[in-house]
Amino acid sequence: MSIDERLRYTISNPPIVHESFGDEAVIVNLNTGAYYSLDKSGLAIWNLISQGASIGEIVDHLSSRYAAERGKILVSVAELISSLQGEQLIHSESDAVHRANDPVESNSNSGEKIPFEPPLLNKFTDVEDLLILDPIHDVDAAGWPQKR
Amino acid sequence: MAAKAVKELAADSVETTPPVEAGEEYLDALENAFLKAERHAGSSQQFYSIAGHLLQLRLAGDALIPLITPPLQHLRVSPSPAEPALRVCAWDPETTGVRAPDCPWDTGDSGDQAKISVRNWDGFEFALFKGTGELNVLDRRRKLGFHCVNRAAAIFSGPLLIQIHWWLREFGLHCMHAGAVGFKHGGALLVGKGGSGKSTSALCCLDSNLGYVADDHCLVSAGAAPYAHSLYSSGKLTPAQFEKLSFVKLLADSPSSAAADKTVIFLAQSARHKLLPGFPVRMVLVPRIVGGLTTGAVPISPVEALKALAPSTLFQLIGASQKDLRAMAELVRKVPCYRLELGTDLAAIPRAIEQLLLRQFE
Repeated sequence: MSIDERLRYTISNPPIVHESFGDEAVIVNLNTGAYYSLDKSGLAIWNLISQGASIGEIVDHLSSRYAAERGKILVSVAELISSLQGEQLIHSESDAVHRANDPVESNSNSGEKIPFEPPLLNKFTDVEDLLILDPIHDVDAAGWPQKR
Repeated sequence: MAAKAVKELAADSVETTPPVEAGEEYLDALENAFLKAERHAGSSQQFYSIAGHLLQLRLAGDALIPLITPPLQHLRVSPSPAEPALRVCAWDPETTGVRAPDCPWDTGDSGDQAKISVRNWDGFEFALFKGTGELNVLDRRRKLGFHCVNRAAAIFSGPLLIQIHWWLREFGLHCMHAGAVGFKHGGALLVGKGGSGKSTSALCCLDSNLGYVADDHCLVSAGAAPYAHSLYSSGKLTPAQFEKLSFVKLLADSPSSAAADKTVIFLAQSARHKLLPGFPVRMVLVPRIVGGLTTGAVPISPVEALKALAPSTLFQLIGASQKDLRAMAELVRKVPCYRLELGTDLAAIPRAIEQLLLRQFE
């Protein structure tokens, strides 16, 4: 699998709202009624995506923290990103490859590395009926509804 | 150019495009429709102090009075010469004979039952429920709202929730899907999706030492000292709950109203002594029905409490945003959170909450 490590992603906000805690992120899709959680390496990846890190930067960060081969981490990151895209939580930045890197918060780990567990995106749909029964068509800053 | 800057530029350019005028014309048409409804059916007005903010409710005709006003009765204040912070004009097309004007944009095909919403565009919010025809509009610049709804679609237990959510979040007050019970110097929020035991727990407290702020929705200011404000003095019960909570029948104002599969009770008159205007939030409780007799509490993480509070709150509000989630996250970070494991002895529920609060006050 060929992975372009220069790619960056943006959280699709709106309709995605999210909040990170010390050990877990909660992500809510206001359009579908589903919500998600990420912990451990998944939380780290999510936070780095939200900071504008490229795939390569995310992998470098995780490699400094977890005891695993870089290649294995790269595949896990790519798989999670694919899941996040599939759930429409993030989208790739069209100009991401070419834009200058924004500084990503450095958090390199000089201590002992911890075992790496592939990230898992937990999805919850127990309250989606609140939306599914009555879907919303939204118009946001992208434009006023189409004139008749 | 960074993507963020592109987005900001796009947002700016939207604000200067001609459709602004379409919005202005539509607001004028709405106001004219309401004035016409007033001329046809007569007019009345009531004032409410909602978390310290003055709301003037102007009603054309009297059909909506019994549907909108009872849950807000406890917040009613004398007519004020002061300029209200918001004036909401409400009418129903059936009895006034005046429909809301067609909105000036595409609302999809006639079979589509979706809500159509416009979010905070130039200070303007709009939501049309196509299935029922219920219309909600807020124009922040004019401090003016419109609510047009048929009687059959009026929400007995939580009227004007969308308007109030749009209006007061600008002041840092967030509508949360939560019950609230406690003492005037501190209380607990009860959070969770429908069926989790939230309403039962809140209504049980009417037969205890604890005061009542809400069973389903309240206003919460987050920040350093989170505070819950009363919004509705109503409660919603299933027929089974209504049977179990026999003391509620004695406290409820009559007549109660049936909404969907639940009975709505109003507490402003006969249970006024149990109602609190609000309290500092000292803890968040996530009820869960576990069986057994007694009720106990188990500490949980803030994120677990957020997962119980946030989705059901956000999905019920039109125009919910990151700001609303951030407020809920601030809240659960600030106060201890517990899972309230509900037993079958209903009297034990308020006792457990009271003990938790008293321990927290020590």
